[in-house]
Amino acid sequence: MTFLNVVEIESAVIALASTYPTLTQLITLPHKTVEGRTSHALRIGTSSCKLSGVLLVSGTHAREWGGPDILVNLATDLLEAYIGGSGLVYGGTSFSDIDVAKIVQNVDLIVFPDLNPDGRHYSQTVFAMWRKNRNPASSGGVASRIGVDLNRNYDFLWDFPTAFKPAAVTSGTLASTDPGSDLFHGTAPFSEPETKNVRWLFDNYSKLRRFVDLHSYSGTILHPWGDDENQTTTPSMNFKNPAWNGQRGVEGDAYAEFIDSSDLSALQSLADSTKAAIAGVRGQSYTVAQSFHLPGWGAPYPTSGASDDWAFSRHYGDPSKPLVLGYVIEFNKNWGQFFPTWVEMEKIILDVDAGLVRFCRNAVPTFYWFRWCWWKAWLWAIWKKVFPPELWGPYGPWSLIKRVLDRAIAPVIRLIKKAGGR
Amino acid sequence: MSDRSDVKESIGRDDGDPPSDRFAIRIEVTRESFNKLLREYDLDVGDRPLVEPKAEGAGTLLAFAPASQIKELEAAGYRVEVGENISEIGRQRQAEVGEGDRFEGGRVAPLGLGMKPGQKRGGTGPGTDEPER
Repeated sequence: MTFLNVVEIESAVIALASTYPTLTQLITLPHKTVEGRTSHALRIGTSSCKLSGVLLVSGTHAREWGGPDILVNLATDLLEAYIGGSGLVYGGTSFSDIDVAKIVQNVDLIVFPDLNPDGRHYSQTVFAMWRKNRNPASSGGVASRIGVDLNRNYDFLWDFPTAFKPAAVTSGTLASTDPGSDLFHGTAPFSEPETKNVRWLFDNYSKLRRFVDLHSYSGTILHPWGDDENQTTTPSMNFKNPAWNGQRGVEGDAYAEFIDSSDLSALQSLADSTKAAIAGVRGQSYTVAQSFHLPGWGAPYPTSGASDDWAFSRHYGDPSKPLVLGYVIEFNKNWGQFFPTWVEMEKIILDVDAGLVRFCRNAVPTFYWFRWCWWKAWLWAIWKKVFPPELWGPYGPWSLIKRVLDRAIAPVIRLIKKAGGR
Repeated sequence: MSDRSDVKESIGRDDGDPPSDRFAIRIEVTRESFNKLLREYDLDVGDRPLVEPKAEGAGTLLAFAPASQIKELEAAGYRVEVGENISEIGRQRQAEVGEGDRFEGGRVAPLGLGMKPGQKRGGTGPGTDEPER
C-alpha cells in the first residue's frame, strides 16, 4: 500500500459511490481548482429522516498527507461493515454492527477527502513541503509566492488587520496579506474554489450539525474559538460587533469571544469522546484544547479565517442557521512528521478513524427525534396515498371533490349558524 | 538531530521554483522570545507551533527553515539545533505515493483497513450493496 495520489482519491470516491449505489450519493463539487481539477465528496446514508449531518474534510494543507487516506478509509470501512452486517474494530476500540447501522441509516455523513488536490499533487510530485493551494493570481509571476493558505480563507474575521489588536496582527500567527507567506489569506473571504466548495456543501446540505477538518501533526483535537479566549458571560463581546474591532487576539486583556456555555460543553464533550476512542486503539493520547491556546506551552495562537471557527460561527452570525460543532483534528503525535512512512500511516489511519466513527456515532439522533421523524414520514406517506399529487391541482379531481363537499356541507353550516343565532 | 554538515547552501526561498529545502530545527525560546520569533521571522512552524516545555517559561520551539533562514536566526543570537532535511525526507516519501490509478477511474473499490469481525472480506463489487441481515 502507498499514499493515495490525487487521481486515486477521486477514483476511490467514485468507486465507493458505484459499488454502494443505494447507500451513497456521489457529490461533484461545483468549483474546479485553478489547475482544472474537479473534486468529489461522498454522501453516506440511507434514511429519508436525515436529522443530523456530519461533514468531514481533509487535505486542506497540501503537505499534511495522510488526511485524504484517513477519510477514504473511513468511508470504505463504514460501507463494508454495513454491507457485511458486521461491526468495526480498530485495535482496542470497537463498534458493534448496530453502531455501524445506526450511523449509515441515520446520519447524513458527507466525506470530502481532498479539498486541495492541486497543492497535494505539487507536494507529492515536486516540493513536498508545500502547504497552500496553487493559485498564482497574487504571485506576481514569482513561483514561490503562489498559493493561498486555505485555512485562513474562510469568512471568520478574515479582515484581520481591522478585527484584531495591532499586537495580534503582527504576531505572525493570525494570517498574512503577503502572498509570499505560508499564511497568505487570499484576496477576499472565500476567494478560493477549494473553500467555496466547503461553503457550497454547508449551503446545500442543511442538516449538517458537526464538522471536522483534518490536519497534521501533533495529536490534538481543537475547538472554537481561535481568535481569542472564550467567555460565557457577555454576549455583546463577539466577532460580529464592530465596536470591538482592533481589540481581538491578545490574551488577558479586555476582549474575549462569547460562547454559549451549553455550546462549549457540547464541544468539549464530543471532543473528549473522540479522544477516548482514539486512545483506545493503541494508547495514543490526543489533547483536547481550544484552538486559541497552544497546549503545553500556554502562549496564545490567534488565527483568523479558520474553517472550524467559520463553521461554528454561522449560527452565531445568523441564528436562523443551525449550530454546527466545528473541530480541527491534528492527527499524528510525532513531531515533524508531515510524511510518515506508509507503515506508520496505516496505524494513524486506525487511530483517527476510530475517533471519527465515535464522532459520527455521537451524531445519531436520540430516539425522541427518530420517533417524531418516523411519525412525520408515516403521516406524509398516508397523506400522499389518500391525496396523491396529481389530484391536488386546481383542475384535478380532488379540487372537484372539494367543491362538491363544500356545496354539500354549506347548507349544514348555514343551519348550524342559524340555530346558534336564535 | 544530524550533523550541521547536512545543511546545504541553497537558493533563497523567494527566488526559485521549487523553493529551498527546509530543515527541522529546534530553537531555545522563552515566552518572550517565542513571540518575538513568530513576529519577526516568517518561520514555518508546521500547522501550529509545538513547544517542548523545559524550565519555567522556557522551552524548545520545533520549526522548519531553509539554510538561509537558519543563518539569519543564528546571526540574531538564537540557539538553533539543526536536524533532518525535511524536504529530503519528503522527496524520499514521494516514492510511497501511488502511481497511476489503482481504482481504475472508479471501477475498483478500495478496501478498508478496519477489522470487520465475522466478515470474510470487505467490498463486494458493483451493484451488490443490499445488506444481508
